[in-house]
Amino acid sequence: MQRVLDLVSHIERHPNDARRILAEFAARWQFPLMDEHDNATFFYWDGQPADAVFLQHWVFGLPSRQEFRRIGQTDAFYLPLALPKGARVEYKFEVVRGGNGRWMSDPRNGRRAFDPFGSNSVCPAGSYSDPEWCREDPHARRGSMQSHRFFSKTWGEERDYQLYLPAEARPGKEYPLLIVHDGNDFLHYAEMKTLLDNLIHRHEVAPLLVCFTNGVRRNWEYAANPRQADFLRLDLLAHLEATQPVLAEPQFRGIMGSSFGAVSSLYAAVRHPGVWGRLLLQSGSFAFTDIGEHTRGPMWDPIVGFVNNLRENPPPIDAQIYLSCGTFESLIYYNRSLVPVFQRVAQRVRFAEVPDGHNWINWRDRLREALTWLFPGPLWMYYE
Amino acid sequence: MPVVNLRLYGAFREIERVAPDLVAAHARKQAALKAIKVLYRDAIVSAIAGVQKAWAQRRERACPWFQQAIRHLQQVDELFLAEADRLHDQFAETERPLSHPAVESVRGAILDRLSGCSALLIAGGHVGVLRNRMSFFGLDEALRQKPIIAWSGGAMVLAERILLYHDHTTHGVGLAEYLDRGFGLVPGVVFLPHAEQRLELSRPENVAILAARLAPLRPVALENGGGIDAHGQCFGRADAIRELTVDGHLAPYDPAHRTAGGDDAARS
Repeated sequence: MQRVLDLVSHIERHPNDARRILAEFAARWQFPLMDEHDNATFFYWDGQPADAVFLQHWVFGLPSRQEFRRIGQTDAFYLPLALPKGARVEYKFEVVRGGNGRWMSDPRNGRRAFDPFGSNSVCPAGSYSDPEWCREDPHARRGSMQSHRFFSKTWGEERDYQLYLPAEARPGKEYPLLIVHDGNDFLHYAEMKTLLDNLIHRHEVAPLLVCFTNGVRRNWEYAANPRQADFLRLDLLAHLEATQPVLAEPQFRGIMGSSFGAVSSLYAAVRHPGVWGRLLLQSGSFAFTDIGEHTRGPMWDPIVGFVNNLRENPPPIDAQIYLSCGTFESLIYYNRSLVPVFQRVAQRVRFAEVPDGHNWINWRDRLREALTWLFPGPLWMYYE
Repeated sequence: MPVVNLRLYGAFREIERVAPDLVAAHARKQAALKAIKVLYRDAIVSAIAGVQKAWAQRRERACPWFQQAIRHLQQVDELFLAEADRLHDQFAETERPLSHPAVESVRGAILDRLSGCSALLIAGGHVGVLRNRMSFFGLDEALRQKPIIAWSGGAMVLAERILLYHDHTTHGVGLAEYLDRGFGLVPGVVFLPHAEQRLELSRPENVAILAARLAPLRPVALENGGGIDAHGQCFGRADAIRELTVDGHLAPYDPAHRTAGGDDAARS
């Protein structure tokens, strides 16, 4: 912040030199500016006249559209924002010219996070850094990916999935199984293949088979839909057990997902008790109501009904549950509320809340802790 | 000088193929051991919590509550090792694996290969599999007849007992536990390879508690760049071989000199 205040006073003293001063300032620093207290200062200047600039972000609890301050009489703008320690914020700029707003990435920040809708700029505060375990390790043995298609009786159509086989896979040996909702996105945006290779190579995660599945009518299928739960148990799991070397005990069977994928995973465990012994639920869309109606739209009706029932009369959940949610998500309230319920009825529960939002990097960053807890590797036994 | 692979893992796979009944009995023994380990782990959790509480009260070794807590923890360890012994003995008595024709043949081939060697090298890796395969093929005697160069997990199996440890797992501190007995070729010690990386040695109470728990065995940290020879003499990097002491420090390992208090609380 101090650097921008210095800039403002510099320009006030030398208004005729504003353009040169701004150019030097823009070339000198990396943006957003961060100070030692994790305060971020966003900066926008493209040399063209602009009416206003707004910060657009997805941090629940802050106004999602915040207006920048203009620097003197220039077309440069700044916005200070205090962030929690170690936070990671995804954002966009909205630049208004002639009454028209245009959303864009921060042109002075090369850090990007990608998702199915495009990309956002990333502001990592203080101690946050991309974990090294999700970068490609040249020493790690690579697992392989296979593409499969099979007929689902439940959906009455063929369904595709991708299967990860660990590098050590050998005939005659059986492995734990993990089924991943939104599989293509986890592979693409959460670098799941690379991090599986790394964590298995380091003996942190047990060698396991991972089935990446995708919804076709995704939101409807994942929203506490009994047919999806039946598809997972009666079609996909049965098919995998018949065709792949997977261990049959529930403690070696996991299911995971984020957002609606987490709802589908939990719903599957409740509808078919004793089948899924490991649940990994990220930023679950576990909306419920204590009184009155919810306002999230009809797509959420089955979810609210399911979670309301679950809270009222929680059934035993014969599974170990890893639950995580970002504190910048509106869903944090629902996820926190479910922790004591799970603690009552599940085998073991671990809950992580982190200063991040509803995004793929948040979900990626939790995978090491989650997978090493749900499917611990033999690191304990390796001395080499 | 040519190197000959003893192919212990492949040898066991061969036994799996030709003697499935024996392997099934072995698997049952291992499953029983695993079940006992669950009880052992639960018992360790409360025993270590007791030790830590007693230490936090007065932070002194002489505190009778601390000594009592250490004794209790040692009793838990001893019970587990005794139970493991019982299962191994029972398996040896009922199955007589070394007299099984398939094992005799495969073991004979291993011993033949070994007899032609000047020395035996034992590398690290999965210490449980290593110990179990060496034990299954009854290599105890053969080990005593050759010069041995062993490192990491390979060194661990040569000591009296094998301790598993890791304070820096991704989901927290792991509580150290015995895997089993080692082959006892190096008496009086428990080897802790890569201790700096795997143990929180900067906290004296961690060092003190572990040393007191393992006493009268001496916990010896092995780091890269150093070693101990057959006479107990250290070589290589000066600070590579150190002993964890009950006063919470790491001292250069001297086989002839037991550091102060090395067998106090625990054995009193």
